[in-house]
Parts: sequence; C-alpha cells; structure tokens
Amino acid sequence: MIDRRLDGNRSLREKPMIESFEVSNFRGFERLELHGLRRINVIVGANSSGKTAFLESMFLAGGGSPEIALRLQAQRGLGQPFQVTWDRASYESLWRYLFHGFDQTKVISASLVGSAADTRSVTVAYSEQDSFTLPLAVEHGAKVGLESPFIVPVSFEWRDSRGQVSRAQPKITEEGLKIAGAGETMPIFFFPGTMAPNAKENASRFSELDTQGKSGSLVAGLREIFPYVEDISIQVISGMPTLHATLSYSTRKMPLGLISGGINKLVAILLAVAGRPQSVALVDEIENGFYYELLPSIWGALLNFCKKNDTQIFASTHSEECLKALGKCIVGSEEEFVLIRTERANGRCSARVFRGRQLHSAIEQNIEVR
Amino acid sequence: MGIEITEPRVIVCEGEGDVAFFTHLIRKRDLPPFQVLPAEGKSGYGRVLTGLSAGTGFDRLSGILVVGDNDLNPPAAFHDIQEQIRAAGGYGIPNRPGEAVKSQGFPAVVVMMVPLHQRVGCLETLLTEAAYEITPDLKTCVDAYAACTHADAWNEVQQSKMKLQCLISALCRSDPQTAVRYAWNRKEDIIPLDRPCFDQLADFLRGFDNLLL
Repeated sequence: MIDRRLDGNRSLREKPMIESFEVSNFRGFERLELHGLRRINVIVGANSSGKTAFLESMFLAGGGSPEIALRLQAQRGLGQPFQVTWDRASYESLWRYLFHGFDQTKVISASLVGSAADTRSVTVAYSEQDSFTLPLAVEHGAKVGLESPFIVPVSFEWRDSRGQVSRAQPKITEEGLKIAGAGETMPIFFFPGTMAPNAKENASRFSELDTQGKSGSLVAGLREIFPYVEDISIQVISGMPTLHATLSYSTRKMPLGLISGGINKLVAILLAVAGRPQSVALVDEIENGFYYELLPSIWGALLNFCKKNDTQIFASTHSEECLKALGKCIVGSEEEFVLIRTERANGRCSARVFRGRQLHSAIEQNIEVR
Repeated sequence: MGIEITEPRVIVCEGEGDVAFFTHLIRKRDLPPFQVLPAEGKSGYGRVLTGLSAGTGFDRLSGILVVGDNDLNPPAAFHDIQEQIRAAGGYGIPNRPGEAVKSQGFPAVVVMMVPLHQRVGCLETLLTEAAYEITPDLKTCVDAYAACTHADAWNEVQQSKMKLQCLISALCRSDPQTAVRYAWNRKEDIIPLDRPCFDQLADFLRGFDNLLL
C-alpha cells in the first residue's frame, strides 16, 4: 500500500510534474493535446491505439539527441541504429516511421508542460536550408556517382523552459551516421515492454545508490515482494558488472536476469526512480513479467518509490488484473491518479484523460475501461 | 473481464433483484434493449455513474435511466439520487422524475422513481401486487401472517419486502428459498411480467428514446 505519510503537506501543484502534453505528427498521432496529468498516469487502449507511441513521444520530448529516435525504432524491431547506407533513401528511411502517415514533409512536435524542470519541447523536421550533397562513392578503387546524393538532413530541436534551444542533425559521413549537437536531457526513463533492462546501466545505478548508502530501502522493498531475495550486489561476468541477488534457497549468488525477468524489470525501474529523484518513468506494458498475485505489492512498491522520490510515472497496461491491483492503491489518493485511454479511429490515434475517481469507481464497479 | 457498455441505453438500478426484474421485463415485453447495471444499494448510484463515465463505449451511450425506489418519502428519495448524480460529476441533473437532462460530453440522464407518480413504496410493492393479481386469495393469508408475526406494525416498504419474500417462498415449490433476483429463473411463474401493474413501467421504457429528443 502507499505510505501516505510521504505526501507531507505539499499540494499536487507544488510537486515537479508534467501537467499537460501535446504531440503532433508523431506515429499514429496527427494531433493530441492532454491536460490534467497526475503523478500516476495509467495508459490503456487496444493494440495499435497509440499507447507505446504516446510514451515514445514523451521520451523523445524529454531527450536531447536524435539517437533516442533511432533507439525507439530499434525497440520496435525496425533494425539496429546506425545501420545506414550511403544514399538519401537510406537516410530518410531511418526517420520515416516517426512521422504520422509516414509523411516526412510534416513537422513532428511534442511538448511537455509542467513545472520548470518538466517543461520541454521537441520538433523534428527536414531542414532544406541545411541540405548537402554526398561526395562521390568509391567502388573498386574508382569514384562513382550516387543515385540520390542530395541529402536534406532531419533536424531535431529541443527547447527547455528557459527557452534554451539545442539542435542536432544526424548526417551521413564516410564513417557512417554522425550525430552531433546533442544537448541536455531531462531525467526521463523509458522501459519498453519487450526489452530486458540494460545490465550495465542497472549495475551503475545500483553502485551509485549503494555508495550513497541508499540501497537498503530498495533491497527491503524488494524483499517484501520477493522474500527469497536477501540482498543485491554487483558481480562481474566476463568483464561486465551485473546485479546479482543473494537468495535464501541458494548458496550461490545469481544474476537477477536469471532469477526472474519480473524481478530484473522491477529493480531496473526502482533503481531509475531512486537514483534520480524528480524524474519521469515511462513504463510500457507494466504487467509483463509479474505473477498476478504480486501485482498489488508491486504497484505498492512502485508508488512508494515514486512518492518518496517525487517521480511521475506513465505506465501502460493491457491487464485487467493489473488494473484491479492498482484499484487497491488508489483508495484515498484518487487525486494522484489519472487514466489515459488511447483509441484509434480512421487511422488516427487519440487519447482521453479520466480522473482518478473515475478510474477507481470503474475498477470498483468492474466496468471495463481498457 | 469487466462489464463493457454494449447498448446505447443503460439502466442503473438499486440491486441485483431490480436488474433481474428489468432484464426479464424488457425481454418479456419486447422493449428496446437496455443494459441493466446494479448500484449495490441506494447510495451506490453515484459510484456507478462515475465509473461508467470512464468505461469503454461510454461515448456511444445515448441515455442513462436511473431507477430508484420512492420508499416512504418520494421527494427525499428523488433528491438523494439528484445529489448522487451531481457528485458523480459531469452529468446533467434532472429536476424531476421523467425529465431528460444532457450535459456536453455526457449522455442524457433520466430518473424514474418506482412506483410511478410519487406513490409511497418500492419495486417490491409492484412485484407483490403482480403476484396478488394471479393469486388474489393469498393476499388475505399473507396479511394475516403479517398480523400474527406483528410485521403489520412495520412501515409500508418493509412490509412490501417481507410479503414478497413470503409469496415467493409459497409459490416456488421447486425452490422455496428463491431470492427475488432468481424469481424469473424458476419453472413456476411467480411474478408474471405481463400483468397490468407493470404496464406503466413498460410504457416508460418503450418511450425512453422520445424523452431524449
């Protein structure tokens, strides 16, 4: 359950938080404007209605490098980043799927509005004035012309709450794709539904937390849900620092990923939240990897960590069990929650926000909200 | 799997017995389809309305009929439902039973208080009347039983509920313990839905769409 003492006397408005969000021309969203976002934002909707795209657009807005866009493509199974050949078609195909209707003449924009640290926007557009011509390619020792050597680069432009702009243009060079001009990012973490957490990143976050003497609460929280996990430590496997657990049923420490994908995922989220207070956590398909009976305590742990660290969470789910488990945590904290339902009609995605009270009543009355 | 809104009209009534009655009445009288939802008690209308507004399919709803019992004080019972609609947030609030009020982004809301025309009583009052219509002799017996057990000192609503239970038990040989919600699932025709005492309710439901115009 949520520890309400953590609330203190601060009102929702005083807390660092994204309060509204707008996105245009990104994936299925031609235009979307959402207001009234809260600390815990639960996203539901049918397949292909834009849940993941919604999270991706927030992540893009919070980022500071076009590399994020490439990473999003890779997470969708659209090839590995930086695999680009030496021509215009290949270059443009890297970004095509970001654009609504694959129309690359449009401008993608996404803006987060809230407290100063959480106000930020991004635009993505092709920049005619920065166009350039690729030099002749070398084939079998001879220079040859290219079919489409004229490149209009795509330009990513982030603007923070102070109006400071950082601009980046990925370019093709003889060495491959070069991304220069990356700027500051806001503390925003994206946990895709289908990818295992990054072992090195987790180990590094845990190390930082442990150094600050703060890893105890994470281990204690974890032990409440998974009693057989007695401790967590970093061990090195083939030169790679990896989180291991001391288990009650084994004398040998085990890598988290081998014990359970769910434990590994939960630790990754909690580490991100605890390691960077006042951050935003985007979790796609939050229920993945968790046994249904544990869902209430997993929600409880997540919500406690989010409150303790002033973290805002956007979590998508398809699961009725996951929503029912959440229902137990909402009681008395309705103002901290909203439900966002994405829908697709006529090829366009849309979304609506419902208050925590509506979500709670619907769960209580067993009314379908997904 | 949660309850999905599948019909363009929804009835929100007090409990499972009411759900069974309206579901069977609609079927028996070939009325326009309504989805019938229980409110889990007199104080539960607001929670259902709040939850419904987040439900999938809510946008396709044309109207919601809230059905309440008049009990001993019809104006007070109606006022309590008005307050629950207000607390649910967003809905139009009817000023009197039978009035349809719509607010932007929400389906129209109509309240029907039972029995109609501000009569003191509840749904069980009508159900008891229907049972008496086919077995008029039983009224004398049930009234005598109420007198013997001193239940005749109870208020009218309590007596209606007590008498209905007695009648169901006495008329349902296959299962004397049958609850109201299962009264229409037994082989005995305990509470016939074609009786004239239900005509006004059926007419109200039949004309529901016209109220929304």
